[in-house]
Amino acid sequence: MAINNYLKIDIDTVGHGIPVLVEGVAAYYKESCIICLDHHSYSTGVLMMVSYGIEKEVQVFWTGEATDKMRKAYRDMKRTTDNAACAFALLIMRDHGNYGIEQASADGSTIDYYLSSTNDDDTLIFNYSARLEVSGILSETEHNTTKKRIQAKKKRLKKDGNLKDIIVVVCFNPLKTEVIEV
Amino acid sequence: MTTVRELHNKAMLLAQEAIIAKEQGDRENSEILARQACQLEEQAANMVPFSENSEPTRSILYKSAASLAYQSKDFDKANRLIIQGLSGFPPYQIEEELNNLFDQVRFERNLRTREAFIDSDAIEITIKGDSVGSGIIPYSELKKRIDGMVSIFDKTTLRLLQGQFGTRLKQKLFEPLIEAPKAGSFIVGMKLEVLPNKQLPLLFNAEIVINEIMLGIERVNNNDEVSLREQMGSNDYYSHFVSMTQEMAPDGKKINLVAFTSRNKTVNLTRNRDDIPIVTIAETDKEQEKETAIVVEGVLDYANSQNKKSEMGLTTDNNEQYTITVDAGLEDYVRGYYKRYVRIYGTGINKQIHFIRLEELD
Repeated sequence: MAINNYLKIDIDTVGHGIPVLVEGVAAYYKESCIICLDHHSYSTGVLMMVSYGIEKEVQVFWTGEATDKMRKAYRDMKRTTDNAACAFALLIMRDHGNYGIEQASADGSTIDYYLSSTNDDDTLIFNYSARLEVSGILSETEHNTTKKRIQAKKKRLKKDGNLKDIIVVVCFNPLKTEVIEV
Repeated sequence: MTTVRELHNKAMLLAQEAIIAKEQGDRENSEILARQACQLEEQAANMVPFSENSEPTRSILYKSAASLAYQSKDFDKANRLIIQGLSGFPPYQIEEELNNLFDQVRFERNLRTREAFIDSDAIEITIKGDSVGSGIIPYSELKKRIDGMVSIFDKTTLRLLQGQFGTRLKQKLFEPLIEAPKAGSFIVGMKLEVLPNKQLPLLFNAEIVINEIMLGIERVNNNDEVSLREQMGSNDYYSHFVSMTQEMAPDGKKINLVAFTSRNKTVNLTRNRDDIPIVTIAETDKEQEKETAIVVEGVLDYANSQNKKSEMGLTTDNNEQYTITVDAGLEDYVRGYYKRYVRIYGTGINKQIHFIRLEELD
């Protein structure tokens, strides 16, 4: 029997070990992932190419499937894709990154996440953090690729001041994720 | 003593509950939760010393609190919190985000003050974006929104008087008027004036038409397809309303905000036009799925609406000609692209295409 050594991402665990994420939002993120994966007819165990310094194939697992009711509720595919991308970014950072998801801040109707390796300061809670900048692409096209998305994000996040950013772009077709630190 | 971290964490839990409530359509509860979260986040921000060493924590917390105040529609408080955040030593990115939030808050406050000055038979369209100056706007950006609103005026009047889509009223009742643009972002007023010597039906007036349109736009913006379909009554009215609203929506590049203000309310059309699907999954029936998907680029060059369904012609760069069949509700939308270079998505066989959607190409 072949034994594979793929790293794993388990979407079902998106709510675990991330204290800044409430149960309801975790469930919402998980369902968004299922909708995007189902949109391209992927099955649990599908391989995703993750580029984070080096390129590695990661196996993605989940339980449950997209129902018509869910498809109706998550019809705004742009938002659903962004939320699903956010779930993947949090999972990759939690399981395969060098950071913990430490903090969140409100940003309009979404949440910004901040990552930190160590932070024991209970007052200056964001001072040793990097901001997680997430973006999702449902299907890559000639004009909308992960590379172009990263370039656009880099351009917007002009490096000035002491805020570090980690950019994560998740693409659902082809299934891949690119992570860079700026 | 409660720490900044504890207060902030409690605030963020409430902020996420507010997002969930909003997603579930419970806007009132969402605003209450955002207000509670804002109080805790403000307390946390106030505990951080005013010093350069406190950054970026201090400005991030004030930005977060201001954002929650904005969500709870407490614009005065949002303004105060933004100013406190800017008064410290925010890093560039946070400073920029605080400034953007300040613009949004000021914009919302202006819209709300304007409501009191608008007549009940009028609607104001506010357009904001990189290509809009104070009182100046590219002709094409204004035209598509005015054409969209005039088309919605006509069809809403017809629908409310129980006319079937595609028919006409025996006599025209209203004349849409355009008021002189006002400085600000770019604000244009439109008014529905009853034509001279025309008698309106009993219990029917321009205010009813305006209120109906505002409700529809709000539902498009909230992605509330079920209520909008119920409101529109038929597929044709539904497709027409959504397609015209999509035409008026911001593109996220040149125009980033379009708002509609009537005497009773303000509706911000914040969804980008690309996020407003004209043909939904429900409308793509089985017949169409069996046909071949076709994508073709060219110039829309003739229109023929003698049949029940409209036909338009498209000529490609290679001089190939296609016939595009358009559902009744989407006629005005597609006609708006006459003589323009577009990419058409549809289904069909050979050079006969059943229209699904289009994109204008530069």
